[in-house]
Amino acid sequence: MPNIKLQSSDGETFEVDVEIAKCSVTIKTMLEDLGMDDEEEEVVPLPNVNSAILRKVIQWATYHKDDPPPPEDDENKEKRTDDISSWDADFLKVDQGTLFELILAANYLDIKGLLDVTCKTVANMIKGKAPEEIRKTFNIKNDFTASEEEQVRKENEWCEEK
Amino acid sequence: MQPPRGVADGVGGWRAYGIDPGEFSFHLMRTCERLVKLGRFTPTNPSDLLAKSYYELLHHKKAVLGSSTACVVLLNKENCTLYTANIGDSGFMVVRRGRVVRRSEEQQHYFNTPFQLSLPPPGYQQDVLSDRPDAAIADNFPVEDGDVILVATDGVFDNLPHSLIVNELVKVQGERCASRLQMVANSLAWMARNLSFDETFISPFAESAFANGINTIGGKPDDITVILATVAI
Amino acid sequence: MESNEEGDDFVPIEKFLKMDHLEQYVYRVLDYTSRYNNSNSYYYAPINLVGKYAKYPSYGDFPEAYFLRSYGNWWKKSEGYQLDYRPQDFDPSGAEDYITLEFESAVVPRDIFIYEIYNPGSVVRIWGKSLCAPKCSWVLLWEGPPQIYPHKSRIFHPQMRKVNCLLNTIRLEFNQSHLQYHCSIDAVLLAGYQPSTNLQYNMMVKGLVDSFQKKPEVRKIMSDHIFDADSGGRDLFLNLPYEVIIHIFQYLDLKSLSRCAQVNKMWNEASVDPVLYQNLSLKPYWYLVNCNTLEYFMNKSKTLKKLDLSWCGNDSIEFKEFVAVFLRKDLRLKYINQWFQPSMSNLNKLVSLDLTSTDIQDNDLMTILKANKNLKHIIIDLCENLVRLDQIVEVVEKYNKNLTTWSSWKTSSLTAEGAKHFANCPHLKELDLGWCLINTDPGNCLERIASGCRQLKRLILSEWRGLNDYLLMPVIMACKELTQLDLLGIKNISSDLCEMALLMLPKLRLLDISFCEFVRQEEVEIWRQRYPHITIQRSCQYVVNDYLN
Repeated sequence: MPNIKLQSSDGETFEVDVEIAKCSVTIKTMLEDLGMDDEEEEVVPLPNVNSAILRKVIQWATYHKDDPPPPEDDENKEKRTDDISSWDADFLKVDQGTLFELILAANYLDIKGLLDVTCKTVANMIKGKAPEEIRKTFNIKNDFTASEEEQVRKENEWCEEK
Repeated sequence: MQPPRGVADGVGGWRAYGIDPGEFSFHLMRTCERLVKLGRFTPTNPSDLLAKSYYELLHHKKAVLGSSTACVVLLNKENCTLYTANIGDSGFMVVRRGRVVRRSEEQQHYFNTPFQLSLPPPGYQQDVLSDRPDAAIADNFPVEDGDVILVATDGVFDNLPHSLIVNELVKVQGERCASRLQMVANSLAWMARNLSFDETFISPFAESAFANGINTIGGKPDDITVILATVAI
Repeated sequence: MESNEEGDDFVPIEKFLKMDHLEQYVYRVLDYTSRYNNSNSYYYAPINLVGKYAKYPSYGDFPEAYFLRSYGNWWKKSEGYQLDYRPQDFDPSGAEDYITLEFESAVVPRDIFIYEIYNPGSVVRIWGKSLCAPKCSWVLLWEGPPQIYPHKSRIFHPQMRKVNCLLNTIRLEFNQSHLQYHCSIDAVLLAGYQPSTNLQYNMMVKGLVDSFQKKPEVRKIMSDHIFDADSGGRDLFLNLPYEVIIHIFQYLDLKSLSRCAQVNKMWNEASVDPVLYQNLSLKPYWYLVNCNTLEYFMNKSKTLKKLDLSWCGNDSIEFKEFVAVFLRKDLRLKYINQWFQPSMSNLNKLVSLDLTSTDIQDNDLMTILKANKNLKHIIIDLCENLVRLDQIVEVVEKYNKNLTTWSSWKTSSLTAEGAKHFANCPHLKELDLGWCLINTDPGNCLERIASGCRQLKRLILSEWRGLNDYLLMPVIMACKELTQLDLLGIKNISSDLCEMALLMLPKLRLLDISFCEFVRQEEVEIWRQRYPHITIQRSCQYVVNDYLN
């Protein structure tokens, strides 16, 4: 099976089966548009992805290489978050820094499945939390003034059970 | 508020079409009962109750087919009035101290063909006599404490002479005891039945037939239903 | 649901106030989302829940009990009956229908007995409406998964949470998706403690007695895969492009989105992006929705495509304005009852329309049909004010060329002549004409429909009493895509016809031949063995004579 070489931002090269690499629409387009020959020892540079993250992305793509292609924006099915497989859940038991880097990588490389599962994971970290808890979890600075905060709270109190 | 009383007599001819003639009348009365229990009726309008019950049968999953006469009476204690609705040749009779104060009118299209509510099988609407519920005769009149009310199918009125019925009803004028009422009801039914099989008896039915140019004698075997009540205000 | 029903410091109010124990049956039915009856008929109607049970312990299909319209997954499989619009707001109990019941006297509830007499096991939630200040709102009394239970009648007596508030309104929620056939309820008995004096009653209602214990969180939407990583002190959201933040937010339920709006300014901006509110369903929040809620969403829903307000109150003017202004693709207003005509300038791209049990009139409906040429799914079950259905079908034939689903279950005024026009809707896949042609002669309309609608998958002909083998054969010969065929109550069809249907319709999965009197039960059993992949429905009635009743 033909391989392709991917180079991370910090210079490390990874040899990957072309079919697995093509799960990234970005890479797939690059290969097709730039007419890269499979036989030649071409190296695809990925300046936005460092080696640690690229290694993880490849690990994910290899595991999911036989997945059926995701359905065309199936509005109804995709939006649930309780359907993350246990492999993916374990795979994503990483610190937030890595998780968010994976999101950015999946976005840049246009790997729908990885982007979906990482975003779902973050969504699950948000669900069920009050605003202050969300801030704590993600270290977010509250930039509302006291009166702004009160106004926003009032606007959004419809869903708080009395 | 007293619950209404009613009888319905299934028209026998349906047997030839494989339809049990008792089914329609049974469901008609059962539905009336249920409507009363649910409070879905006007206490002064038994005719409307009958109509509602009839139209309800169309919504039954099991096709309830056939036809029936019907008679429903309703006593309103507040204004001491009896409200009645009758379609066909079942009927009611109210007797006060031996005198008939009210009697339902028999509704016939022609001899032995009473008015009837029917639900024919689809496609047979043209062939089957079917009267609308609003053809029922609605009536109301004042009653007194002790009055005797008889509601019965035509098997009773066709076989028992008028005077015989009145004599029996006199016995329970003002009666409050249910079992004595039951005894008289039983005896009315029993006599009607016996006379219906008496081939030499000149029954009211035979008299009526004769008046219509039909030479016949004897009783008329038929289903017999009797409801007997007294007014206790 | 995890809930500590009673904390250590919870004392049931009947222990310190002298109250009277009271058992009562339903006094009045206030509201429901599923009915099997026309409004002028009481058979199978919700009103049968009033008062004492009528048929229990008999088991079966009786018109004297409340009968729910749908069961299993057959409706969900249909294209026209779409799934919930907001899977983010997924309800783990999967409640599909509810009924709201009123009892004559307010009590502190302790026990509830639900008399189920056909296919039991679908009650998944019980709510009570507290009359006590300050929290005069709905309280969840019990929640549990649908139950598997054998085919016999039962009195369902779940263990309710003990609350100390007075209530006389109960809401039952149902999930019928595991049932083999319709479920039917005969009565509901509520037992509890009634204040024995007016003073007691007033004190409780005014909240002067400590009537309400701390309420556990109603629903936790956390999955098992939560792993709250540490961010190392940085706000990583600052690195994410806006469209990725929106991607994350698209997985959030409406409640979480509201909370996100309060986190900081950037989150506030993202959380109100209209793309997050294209599909709106307030159904899971029914107990919180009021006109302020609608206003809240009005500001966000500029690109609203799908709107589901099925379970929400429908009396307010704001509600009507809301719907009028924002409709684009899908309108689902089941059981709203009172129709109002929205402005046509906004309403012309509808693909799906569900107006079950509204009082819409012919002209209004025809206006909508003519204006929305893309309509594929039209559902007008139980719309009893429609008296010119033939004309409506002709309009559809002419204007709605993409028609895939038509359902006019239990409407009257359709005749065989009108039904023939369906033959000119070649894309028709689902046709529900149950109870439409009860006593009229169907003529050859089925033959025409069969030849015109070769793609038919679902055909409901319940109570078409004028049908016979001969008139049905064209359907069996021509509609080879049929998966569901409903012939309930058609007296004159024979076993031969049923055999032909089972044999010659290769995709058939559901055949309802309840109340087809010439088909014998033994034959049905044989077919069930021979065709195990086909569900053959035969309604039953097992009467138990309870002389003590």
